[in-house]
Amino acid sequence: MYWVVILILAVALLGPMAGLFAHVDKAAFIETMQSAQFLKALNITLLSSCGGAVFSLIIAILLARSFATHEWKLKRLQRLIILIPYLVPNFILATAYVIAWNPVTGLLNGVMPFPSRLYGLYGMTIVFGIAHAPLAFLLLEDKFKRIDNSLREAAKLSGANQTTILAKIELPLLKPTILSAFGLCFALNISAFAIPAWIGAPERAYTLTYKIYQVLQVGGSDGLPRASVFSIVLFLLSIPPLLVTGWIQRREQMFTTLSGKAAKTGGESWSKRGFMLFQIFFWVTQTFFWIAPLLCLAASTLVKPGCLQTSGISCFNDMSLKSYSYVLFDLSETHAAFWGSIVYGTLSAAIIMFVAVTTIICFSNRPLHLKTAEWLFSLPVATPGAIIALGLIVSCSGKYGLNIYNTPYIAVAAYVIKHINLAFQPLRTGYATVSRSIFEAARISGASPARVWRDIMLPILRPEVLGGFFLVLIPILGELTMSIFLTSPSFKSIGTVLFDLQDYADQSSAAALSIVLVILVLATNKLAHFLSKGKLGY
Amino acid sequence: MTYLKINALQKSYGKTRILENFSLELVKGEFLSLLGPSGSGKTTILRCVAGLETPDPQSGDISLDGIKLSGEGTFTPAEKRCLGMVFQSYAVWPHMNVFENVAFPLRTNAKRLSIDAAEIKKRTLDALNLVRLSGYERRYAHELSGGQQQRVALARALAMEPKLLLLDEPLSNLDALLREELGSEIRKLQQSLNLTTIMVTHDQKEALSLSDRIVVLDHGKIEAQGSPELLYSSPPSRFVAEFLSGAQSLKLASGEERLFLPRRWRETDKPSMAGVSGFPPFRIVSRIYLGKEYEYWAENRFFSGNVRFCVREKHDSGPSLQLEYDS
Repeated sequence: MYWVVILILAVALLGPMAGLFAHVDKAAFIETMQSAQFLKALNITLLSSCGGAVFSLIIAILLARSFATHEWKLKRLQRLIILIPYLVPNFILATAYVIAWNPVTGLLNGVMPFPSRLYGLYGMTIVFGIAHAPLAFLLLEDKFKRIDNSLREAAKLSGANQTTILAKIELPLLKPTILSAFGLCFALNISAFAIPAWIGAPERAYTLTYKIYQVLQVGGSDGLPRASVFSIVLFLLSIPPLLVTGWIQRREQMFTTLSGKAAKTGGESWSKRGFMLFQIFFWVTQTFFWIAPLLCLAASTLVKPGCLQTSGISCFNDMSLKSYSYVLFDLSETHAAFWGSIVYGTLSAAIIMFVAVTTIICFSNRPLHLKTAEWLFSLPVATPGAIIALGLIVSCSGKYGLNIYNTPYIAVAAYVIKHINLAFQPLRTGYATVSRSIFEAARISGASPARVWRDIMLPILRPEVLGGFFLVLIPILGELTMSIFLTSPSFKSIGTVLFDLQDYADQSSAAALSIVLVILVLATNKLAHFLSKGKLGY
Repeated sequence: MTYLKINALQKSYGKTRILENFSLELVKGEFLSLLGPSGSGKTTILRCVAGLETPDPQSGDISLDGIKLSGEGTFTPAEKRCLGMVFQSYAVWPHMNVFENVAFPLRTNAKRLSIDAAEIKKRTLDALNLVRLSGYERRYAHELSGGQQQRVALARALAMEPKLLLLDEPLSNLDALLREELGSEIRKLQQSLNLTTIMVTHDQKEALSLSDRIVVLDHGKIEAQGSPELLYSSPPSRFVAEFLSGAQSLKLASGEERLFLPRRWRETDKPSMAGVSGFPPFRIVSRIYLGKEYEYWAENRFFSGNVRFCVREKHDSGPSLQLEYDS
């Protein structure tokens, strides 16, 4: 009976991908693989994704070590500042970069030039690095904190200076985390759509994800088969980082960072010079990474289009909120987008929470089933969104008896598959921390298992359930990679409308809509943080 | 001649003062134990000597072999002090094997010590031989027992021939048998190398059996110091007697309060009139077997609380027992 439930979950989560792979024609596969177009896209994808992941890691290591081992007054605020690019959807960050540094009308070109030309491979690599550095920071900061201070102190007493301690002790100990962070950033980079579309495409630096979109747009009889081939390659690219991480984690005893019973963490003190240097590094990088571009984005919503480029700050004499009133009240696409993202996003989050909670309840006494379900939920996380979207198009267009193509429900299915792990993991962790005796005490008191769950377990897990609901809503609100493939006359998301506005060169409306979405996302994040009693969100 | 001198050391964490004008001197080759309950400041002293904690700005100085390590604007960082330290949590780097762990301090100090790779190898193997770990060079921390890991930590601390060996509760994570074995090995090594050593411990037995001198601390101040024999047999204060010798403070019927050592009670045939003078018979309330002897708690109307004493003989609870105290 329980294995039947697992089978249903497996079919629902992995079926679309299996359908996509079954759809691929061998001849089309060979032909596409040999095409110059494909090889160029593969090359650009690998270079930008690897480069971006390395850049993310360098930033993350420098910041995470300082945050994990030192204390200072504004640390909490500065930590939140680092995480902003993680909370802001990628296409908003990309829009901000375009306004700030596009080669012709970029507002910051004269003041704070971009290190390379924004458009093209290099620009895309840098923006990948900046966009996903906070995620690497989160992973590394936690692990840096877990290094037993006596391991550092033993090295210090052995004559090692700070650089040696970092290079010879800390980084080798964090090898699995560094590789995991690299793998995660790499997986996010290869599956990203917004940054390649906004930053890479104008210079014809097409990645595989963008090529999938392009061949589907061009259409024709070979559109879907060719897109499927690109998807398979994309899928294959996402596997090696997972394998390497898994292999290195199996040798985790060599990387145990907490030892003995008196393990202590943190607590180094800054020298005045060190603190000043760190603050300079922090504010310069963060200003460049997001503060300045987002300020440009916000500024461009308050003045007439193109005014800042021609008249500078004098434009603010004629400041207005017209662009906001236009996108919020006059533009019909925005209404459809908000409806699509909020209503169907909420529906997706509700389904996700229902499935996650039911799974925990069903398998609470069955560790093997629970582990299998966890594994199933985690697979789509590493799978590029484009593959899930294409898989759903192939599998849910009536071929296997289910036709939800061109309806909003295909997007709902995609959101559920992609983001279910985000809600399941905190719930699983929360459940694992509840002592078994809590459950047993209720059973001995005469409660049935159902009653125990209703009256004891779910109230205990309420922060994870409520917080998890809003936590999954955040990426869904800012989703573009899957939505762009699943958009239809009956479904539009905020991301797809922003993409269209960008395409029509209506930068002012795009910027206004971006700011509205940023506010919505940050508010949802705060709600998740509040409802989960600080366990989720930031 | 003074080898290590700590003069008027002060250390606070926030508004909490941990050490107040703490002074101490050690001679070359001495094994000194800092003994005290949790929060007495013993680890803070050790970490200040190591350079892992910075003393307060108004603090006095610490000097080693005539060289000032901290005080009056001077602060030699830990990595420049040439000290060896063994941590309670072993702190064996899990990504390096035994050889690499022990060779690490030699490699980082290769220039200062003017040693090449061959010399590093030789010294590393010598250090491993010293702690009886030859043949374990290629093993990793997770392939070693707790005792072996602590030996690696000891070898690492000894490898670069430190000016001072610091031991931060080095035996407290080990089981009782291993603790005794490794403790006596540390003492033998310390004596054969004539290595000045400071050990932090809260274990009275460990301090008594290993040290040349014990410093008993309470709330950041020296409560007493002296040889183990002297402190045990003639504790200068009630705190020292209670903490070091396990003495019991008892109120006599006369209202006077006195300290009694549990092992100085003896069984006697003589009815009353011994030791403190005339005890009526004791009535045993409870008994614990300690291996070599029994520990009893007994009632006696001469005292306001129950009396604790240790004797080899086994007695059942209840019946009266005649005891005398060898003061």
